[in-house]
Amino acid sequence: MRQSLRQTRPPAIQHSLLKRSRRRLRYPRPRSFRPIAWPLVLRGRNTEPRDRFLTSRDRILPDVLLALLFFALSLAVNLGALPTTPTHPDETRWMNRAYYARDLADPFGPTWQDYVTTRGQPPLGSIVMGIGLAIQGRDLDATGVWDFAYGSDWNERAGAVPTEEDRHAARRTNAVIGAMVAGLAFVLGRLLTNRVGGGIAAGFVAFHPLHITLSTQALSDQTLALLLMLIFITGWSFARKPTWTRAILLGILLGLGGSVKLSPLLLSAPLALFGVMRLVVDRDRSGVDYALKLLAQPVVALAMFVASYPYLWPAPIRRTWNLYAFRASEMEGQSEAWPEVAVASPLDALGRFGRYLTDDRSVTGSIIQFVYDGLGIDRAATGLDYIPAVAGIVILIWWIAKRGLWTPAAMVGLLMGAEAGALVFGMKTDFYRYHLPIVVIMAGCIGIGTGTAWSALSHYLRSREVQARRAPTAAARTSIQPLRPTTRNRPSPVRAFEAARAREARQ
Amino acid sequence: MTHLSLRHLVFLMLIAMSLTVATGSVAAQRDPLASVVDMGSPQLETVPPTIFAREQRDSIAGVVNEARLFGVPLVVRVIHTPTPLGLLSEAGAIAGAAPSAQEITQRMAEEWLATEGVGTSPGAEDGILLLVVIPEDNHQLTTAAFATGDNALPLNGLTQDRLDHVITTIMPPRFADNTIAAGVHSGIAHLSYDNLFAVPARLQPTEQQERLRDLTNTALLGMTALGIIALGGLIFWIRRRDSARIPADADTLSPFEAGALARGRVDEPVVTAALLHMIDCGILKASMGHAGVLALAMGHDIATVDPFEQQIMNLLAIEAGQDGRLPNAAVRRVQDVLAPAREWLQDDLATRNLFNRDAKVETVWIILASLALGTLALFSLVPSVVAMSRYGLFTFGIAMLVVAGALAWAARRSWTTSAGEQVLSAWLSSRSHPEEAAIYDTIVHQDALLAAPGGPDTDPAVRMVRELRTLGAG
Repeated sequence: MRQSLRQTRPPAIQHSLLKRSRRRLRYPRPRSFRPIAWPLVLRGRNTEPRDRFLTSRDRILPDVLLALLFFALSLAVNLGALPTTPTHPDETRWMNRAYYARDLADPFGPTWQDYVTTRGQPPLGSIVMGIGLAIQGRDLDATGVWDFAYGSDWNERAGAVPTEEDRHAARRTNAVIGAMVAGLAFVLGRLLTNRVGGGIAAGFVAFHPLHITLSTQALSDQTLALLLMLIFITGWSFARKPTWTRAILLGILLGLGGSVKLSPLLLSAPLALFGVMRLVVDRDRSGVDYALKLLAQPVVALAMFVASYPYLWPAPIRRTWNLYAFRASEMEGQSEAWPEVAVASPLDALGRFGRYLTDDRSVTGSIIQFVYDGLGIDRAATGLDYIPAVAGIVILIWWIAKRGLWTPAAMVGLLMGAEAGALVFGMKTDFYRYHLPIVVIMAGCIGIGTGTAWSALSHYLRSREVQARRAPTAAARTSIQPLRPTTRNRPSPVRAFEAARAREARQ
Repeated sequence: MTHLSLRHLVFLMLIAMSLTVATGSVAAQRDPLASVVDMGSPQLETVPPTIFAREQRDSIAGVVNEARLFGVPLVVRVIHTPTPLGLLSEAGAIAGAAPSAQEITQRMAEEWLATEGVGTSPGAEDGILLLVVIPEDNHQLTTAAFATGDNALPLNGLTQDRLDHVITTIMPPRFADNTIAAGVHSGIAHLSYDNLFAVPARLQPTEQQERLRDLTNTALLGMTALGIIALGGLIFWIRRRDSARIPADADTLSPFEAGALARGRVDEPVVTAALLHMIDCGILKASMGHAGVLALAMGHDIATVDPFEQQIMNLLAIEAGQDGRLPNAAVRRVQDVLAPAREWLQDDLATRNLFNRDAKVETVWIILASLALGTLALFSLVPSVVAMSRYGLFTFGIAMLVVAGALAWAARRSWTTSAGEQVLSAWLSSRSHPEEAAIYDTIVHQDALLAAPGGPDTDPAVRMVRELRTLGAG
């Protein structure tokens, strides 16, 4: 039977004896390998461990540069497409509320009272738009709101049609945010797999037709995508090292995500359930710590959400409920007004996601269509994006099954699954912009799929290379040089254990 | 753990109570956006009924319903008068009063509103009536006026100014064009648009709010400010305590002690480095199973020269089975198992004046003071919001920043004394054994490993360190 350690504390060493005998101890030399910090040759220099760890910036630098490269690439694509993207009347809503950014300085002012504008949407998308317009020197009261009950003439008379300059300035704001999403897609793919996975994920986002459209319209969906990417990355980071700082940061991002489009706020609930599960399974200190940090997510997220929206301050619970109720009734109203976009059930929503992101907007579909057009083939292309995405999902599930639930991959999988679930179960109206979070999730899955495939391929090629070295030809025998110790081929603790185990097994 | 949860629970209950109080303070008002489509009064009435064509009536009724859908208890009444109101005005001038046609329409509208009793419920007095008066012989002299109940305005984006704007700017051009129905429709459409999208009028604080604001800006704000100063003072006093006066009772250090002094705590990396070193020397045997699960067993050579490692060995020996293998459950919570060894080393360093002896007590004081200030700030937040006090809000923000900063500082501050730093500095400058250097670096730079990316290429060394730190697989 396991004894309680705290009750059977070992006899303490007497300090007086220790003091007498405290001399410079000679630590035994390790037998097979060094601990993780051992002088080694790095880029031609013999480095001390501390120097090597300090040069970890060098290791990160290529990733930072690649992320910036994908940001620049996506920004160039977005800015190129900006003038030709069709105008959408909804752009006026986000441009109209740009004054939110200014009126944050007056949190008890009329802007934050209870009326349709404040109830219709949470504020962060509008605040970001306001900051973007202010940086570009544009007026924050540039336009009224387009009323769909009336035609263009009426809305023009009501001042609900912005000038081209204002519209382009608002769109440029989103172009930058969309490019940031592409850069973060690289980071997510890199963290989950490797640079190839990161690069493919970022490329997928940067060239996705829906991403380009929404990066070049003055809407708030790209701000949501940005927050989702940050949530996934922070979730990964939290699971990697579950500190309170990271837990609070995750909660803050969930709250800010809710402040853009409400749905990310709901992610805190499955996170808390995950914490309960950890509490049930693992009662040890690290398990309880981990669970408490997850259980705090709804509180931190809701606090951040309320703090970010002065409208909610007088009655946080009732007005938050009002927001959700208003959104639900608005979606019902939209379904009645446009029956063709009404979503009947979660299964219908799933089917619509599949159809839209395969037949209508997909990266592979665009590429294939480009080839068809080049070859003069008169045929509509079908996208194949779902193949690597599904492969990524399968690999993610396999990782979780193999490595456990408390891993970074599992945390990212949970967050992605919960966001997808919220969309599938919550979507009552099928508007094109509601598909963007699925594109973000697909980017992560595609990164996992392609990154893992690349890893498997490189392992295979490396093993062939090793085999070739073990059996060199007569001509090559004279030319092969012994491997110089590097970070890659120096035996690590675990490899040494495995080698020792193999030796024991042979004996 | 139980006490911690209870404390958190009480804290959360206090927060929930505050929010409930805040919710209740505004719960009695009517929802300004609740639909009033079903209110008793008909949307449109005309006298005589044949003033507008059927399509025009339907169109006007539709736009009235649109306003009602978002909370405006609106009715429209249209009448024909045989005599232009201008003539009535001139007739009135004989008696010394010369009301304009617009003023007459306004009075008629108010009387109509009082007579009909328009509103969301009897006695609510929140109805809005639009009266349009069309002279039979000259439609171009048509006038219109809004009459509002005492409790009707402000409502959402509607204010008296915006209603006046509709009457003076939006409708007259259509009336002048003799398109009366279009004018009425256009006026109501603008009213509906303003209701939805115009910024409401600024709420004026009530007398109670004014009194609460005075209380918040004086007593509560002062108490919170004092709390901020007190917590800041406590931290300043703790930082100023001069532990350097007590000389260290040590002439040399083990690499584990040096690592602990460098990190300021005896935390997981110190224990993990000891385990790695013991595995390395054969004192412990480690293997990774097929599922990547770490297994530990006591090695054949259990001799160790370091007392900290001896403590660890003693603790592991309690957990190990007859064959020397540690159960998987014990490996999974190895940091818990070895917590007494950490405490032992911590006490040992404190006894030798290398660690601050009072650090734990000081931390408790900081946490208690932070909780007190946080609670005070939270309870000053509710009256600040209700009384719309910007100063109260600002003070709350400052208080929460101070609390967060204090807790973060308490969590991260080094417990190493000045004397400890001197001993460490001497040890660092004199160390010559690569083994010692390697152990020290394994402690101090261990977190760098945890920042490495994961996925299929995760380094096995990273996974092993994660397992030993009970952080789960990489």
